[in-house]
Amino acid sequence: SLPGDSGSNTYKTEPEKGCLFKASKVQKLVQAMLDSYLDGASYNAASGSHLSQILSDMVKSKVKEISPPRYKLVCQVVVGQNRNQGLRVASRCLWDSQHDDFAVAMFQNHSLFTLVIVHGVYCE
Amino acid sequence: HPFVFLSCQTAFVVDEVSTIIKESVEGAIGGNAYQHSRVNQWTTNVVEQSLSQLSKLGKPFKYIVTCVIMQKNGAGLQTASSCFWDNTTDGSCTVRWENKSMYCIVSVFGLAI
Repeated sequence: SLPGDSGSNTYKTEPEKGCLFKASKVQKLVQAMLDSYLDGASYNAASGSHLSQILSDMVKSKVKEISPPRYKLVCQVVVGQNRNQGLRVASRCLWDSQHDDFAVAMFQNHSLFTLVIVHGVYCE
Repeated sequence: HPFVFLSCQTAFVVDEVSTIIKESVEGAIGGNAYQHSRVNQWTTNVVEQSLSQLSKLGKPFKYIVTCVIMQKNGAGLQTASSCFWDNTTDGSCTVRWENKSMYCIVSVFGLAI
């Protein structure tokens, strides 16, 4: 694709080589963040909703730093009290599997569990 | 004004998406009690039915649908999300549903293409 001249849009229907969302790299980054941030943490009903939003914002910011250009990011966080309840999370997307991808990280201790899903979606 | 009309046709409309989700959840798990052996199939059904109906809207969006089903046993649960997107075109919607034995939380993210 040609670079845009002044005043016109640049449309790239595909990412540049080497500019794909790297799910495994994101996974490692997010996992390290969870392991560090939640080390020794316990579930607290009063701060639970605050914790999930803090984690969500933090993960999104960090992943943004390592994301290639033209990728939109969606970060979802589930924080729950660990009481051996049954829980299932499923996610599906309508997108372009050639360029779009996602990473999942989980953390669990005796008191709480956390699930983080980060989706990277290419946009022209 | 033609441009206003165009944006209504191609916008992420929360009420429209919310209705689709509620119908998908009701259809998949309405009237059921939590069963560990069925929860995998239920979450799959909710997301697939939701995506199918969303794609029929024919709007220029990529969609992400996530469904959480949790057994009720007194444990607390919180969800949150953060997005890096285009505020003018992209949108999200979260539906919370429950009955006596379980919670179901479904989130939809629509990213304009």
